[in-house]
Amino acid sequence: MLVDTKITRAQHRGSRFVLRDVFLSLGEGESVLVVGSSGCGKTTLLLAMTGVLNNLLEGEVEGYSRIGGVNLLEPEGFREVARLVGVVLQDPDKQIAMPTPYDEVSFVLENLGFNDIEERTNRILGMFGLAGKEFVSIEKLSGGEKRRLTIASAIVHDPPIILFDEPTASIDPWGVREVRKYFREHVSGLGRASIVVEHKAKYFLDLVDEVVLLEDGVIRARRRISEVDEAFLEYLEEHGVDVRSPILIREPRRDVGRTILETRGLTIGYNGQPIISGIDFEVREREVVVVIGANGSGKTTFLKTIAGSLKPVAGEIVFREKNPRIFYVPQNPDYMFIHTRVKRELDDLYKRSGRIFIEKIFSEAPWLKGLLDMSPHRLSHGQRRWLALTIARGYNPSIVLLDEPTTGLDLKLYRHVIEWIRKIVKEKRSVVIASHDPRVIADLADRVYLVENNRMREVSLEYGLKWLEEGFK
Amino acid sequence: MPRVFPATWFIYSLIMTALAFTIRSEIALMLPAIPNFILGLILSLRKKYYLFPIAFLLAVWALFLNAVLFVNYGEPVVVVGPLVIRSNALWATLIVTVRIMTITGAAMIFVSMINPRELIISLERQLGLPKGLAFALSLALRLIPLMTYDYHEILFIRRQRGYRTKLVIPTDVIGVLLPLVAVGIDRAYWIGIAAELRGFQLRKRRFNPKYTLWDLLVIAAAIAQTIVSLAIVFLH
Repeated sequence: MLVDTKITRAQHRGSRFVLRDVFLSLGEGESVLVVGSSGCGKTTLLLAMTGVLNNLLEGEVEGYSRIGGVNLLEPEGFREVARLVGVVLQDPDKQIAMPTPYDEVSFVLENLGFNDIEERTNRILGMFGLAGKEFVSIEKLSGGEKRRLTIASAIVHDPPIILFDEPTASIDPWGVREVRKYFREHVSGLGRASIVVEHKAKYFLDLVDEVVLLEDGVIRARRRISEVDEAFLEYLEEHGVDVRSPILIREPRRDVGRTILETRGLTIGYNGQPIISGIDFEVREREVVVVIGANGSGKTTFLKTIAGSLKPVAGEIVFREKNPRIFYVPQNPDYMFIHTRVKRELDDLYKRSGRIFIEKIFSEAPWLKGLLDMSPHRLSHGQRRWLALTIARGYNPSIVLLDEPTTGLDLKLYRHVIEWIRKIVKEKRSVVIASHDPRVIADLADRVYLVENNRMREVSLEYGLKWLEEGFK
Repeated sequence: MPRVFPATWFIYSLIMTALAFTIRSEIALMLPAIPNFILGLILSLRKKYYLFPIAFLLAVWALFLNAVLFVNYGEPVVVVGPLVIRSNALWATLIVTVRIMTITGAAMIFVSMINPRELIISLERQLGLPKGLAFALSLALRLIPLMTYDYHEILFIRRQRGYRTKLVIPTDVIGVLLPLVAVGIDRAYWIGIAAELRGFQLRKRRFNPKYTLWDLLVIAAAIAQTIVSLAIVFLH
């Protein structure tokens, strides 16, 4: 057995969450998909089985985790972790430590004392489509390129097992397609074992040998892939795992009002350099407009230009209201918080929106009462996202601009966000969403704009959905 | 330009800066100040690095104002309407300007001749910089653009929420620092884990000093300037 892990108990220091009785065993070339909703213990499992939790983070882990016969939970075994394991983390910007692709890939080789560093580094960068970009600043790489770089860095030293922690969380469908391609060619295709932690199971079901469902820190179910049937998929879905492609249900069109925002021949970009040209775009009252496009296509730049954070390169933005009330919610909710306590954030909203609004918030989210003295930055990812959206709502905007609001959310949290958006549309607001998540079109969109080849055009919901869904296949 | 290791330019700048702080004679300091400043200025302007020349001009202007306000005595040298500029104010300006010229000149040469990535590698290999420090410097290079992005996002959200974007009072600073630090800590936490999982603890010190003739010439130039400056000090 290449991997033989038996963790009877694992816990972060000072945390109440406990991972219990998780047993995993993999032979050479085998792949396991670990699924479960946010907070079920997927990442804790990876940290525990690599020995990071007890050796680096002062957590407690009971049991053993042997890879290639080496118990990584012991300090001596943990010294071998880099030789035995390659790791791809959720967010490339939280993994890449070096300033250029060459340095990033050669980092692990230098650490492990390889002699053929230059040759290996150049070869792997070439294989992952990064030849010619060896010494380019990481900031100049696209999201997909950064993701490729993290996979290249994980396998360059030929470890027998690769661990993936939500590798599709921050990338568009084309990035997902690349991850799947490299997984097929360089992981399973070369006989490497792998453990993939994901809540978007649909991207990996056809690539793995076994599916394991984690819930509240314990394994609830496991199936060999040949035994996965419709009933099991439904079971996974009930437990917050995304297993299916979205289905567009044509509901009667919302009663939208007059146009409140319009752009005419708008060109957007940075420092006078256009990214998207000739944009004719409109938003009506009580309407949800979704702007789709690949990572780096200019969706965020578009929202920021509408919000007034960036100046248009050319063209005009016309608002129906004299003083348009627009609120932009960035992808990272942490940017939204100004105060040291949740309570102070709510006090701020109280001043702006009054008592009734605050009462409404508490009735929608009673759990908030127990977190009032906490820093907003210490809330869970889902809670931070919810609070950021609620702050935006408290400012009573007529148009809310949401940048990738569903990134990194499991099915349950995703449904909360969708519900939140429906609520604010009922409050007679309009919403513009920049996203590459096909579910957003299926569940929310009234109209869709597609950004492609530096142009933006309106497309049908069906076309937009198909465009995104085909992307990863 | 022949190949000179970044660590050599680092040593050169360090020697020039030390000279600027230790030599008390302005005449002696003129020798390193003038050629270093001229060379640095030419290199900076060629690379379009305008920050140092502008900072230098501002510093000299501030020095001059300071001297006129606080040490304006001695013989009158320049009379402009009611303003009389006396010898001591000019002399005081000159003394400090020469020091700043030496430091700025060396700094301009340094930043024009190196790229930050090569500097870190060179500091580790040529000077035996500890791996933790070299990693921290590399990480800083990686994180500075990300933190700049974070900062702009935070300022925009503050503006949107009706808060000041100019940081006037401590609560303004806290309001910006909190999200900046929260995002930064989270990033650093995961990057640290990723580095350890890629064998950072096994990394060996990569001290392998190899210098070319050009490196030796640059160091020799720094030593020669030091010797001549010291000689002038002793002769006076």
